Amino acid sequence: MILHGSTDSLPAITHEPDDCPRCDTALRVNNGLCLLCLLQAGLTEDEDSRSGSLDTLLSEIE
Amino acid sequence: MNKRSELRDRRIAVIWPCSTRRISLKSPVLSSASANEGTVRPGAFVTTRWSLIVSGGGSKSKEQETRAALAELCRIYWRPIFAFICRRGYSTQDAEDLTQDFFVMILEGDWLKNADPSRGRFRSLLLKSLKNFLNDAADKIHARKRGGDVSFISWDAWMSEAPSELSMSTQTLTSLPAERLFDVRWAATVVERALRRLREECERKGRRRVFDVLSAYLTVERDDVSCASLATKSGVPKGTVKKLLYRMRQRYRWLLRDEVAQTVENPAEIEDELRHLCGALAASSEQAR
Repeated sequence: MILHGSTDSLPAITHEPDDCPRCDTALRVNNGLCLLCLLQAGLTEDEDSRSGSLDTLLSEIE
Repeated sequence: MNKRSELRDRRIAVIWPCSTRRISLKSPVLSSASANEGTVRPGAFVTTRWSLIVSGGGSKSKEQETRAALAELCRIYWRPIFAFICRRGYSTQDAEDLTQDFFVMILEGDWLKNADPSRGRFRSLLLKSLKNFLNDAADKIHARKRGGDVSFISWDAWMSEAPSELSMSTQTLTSLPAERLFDVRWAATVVERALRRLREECERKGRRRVFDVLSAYLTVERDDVSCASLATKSGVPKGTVKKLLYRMRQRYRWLLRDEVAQTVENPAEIEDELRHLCGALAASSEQAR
């Protein structure tokens, strides 16, 4: 079942996602990434989170 | 432009002060937070949208800023509201109308004063207000039908501006009560916004492919990652892949916490809010079994 238009507000069921091997849930977002795992990642707070460090590395790629 | 469109656009501009432009991460509302972005942890004190709203008006310019912040938050989190109303059994058309009326109530009325923002987070206050709002929804729909069709939300624009790829099994979707669906939708909005910001940062450096390939590994254990394979796919030297993954994960976490920070009063609540949403997602899956 694919939901179109304003029903985009309801999750689109384009396929039956498999359970995540790590957390056992079946809620997926971009590219099939597990929603719960992505959310849980935020529970780890980094001491050093300068945006510049990613920017710099991206700029340095040859 | 015909008169009806003109009137509608004028109405949109009043209710959504920032609707004439794309949601900008550098909007004035976010200025204090984004000015510090990258140098200050989300755990440190910064003014966020919700903390700005909670601090209240005062001067006229402050009140305008507060309303703009509220409008921006509503604009970001429209999907949970609409999904909740749909799940309560309303037709798509009625749900659209009710969502619009709800936003009018929030943005044009005295919602801020009556809701007492100091007593809750944006998510919980919004949900509580939505439930109250729907108590006499039948009357509202009836009144709207009598008064004609007034529309100020550009649904297509909103959807294309921030498309969502949330998917779940039929069983999960049909088993979720409205409150749970609201939380799932909320969590997806937070995560998808953080991912979108990360993608945009890569795009600004001309590295969209790096994001497309490596973002799939944001939550994967290090041992399960083949740097050689990712180097080939992303076009990045093998030695850089490991560093990139590390920094992308770090940056993603920061962006995610920053998104949550915009909806809570102080940074100490970020952790609680994340745990609440994680709990809601886990419970949703349990419920579907």
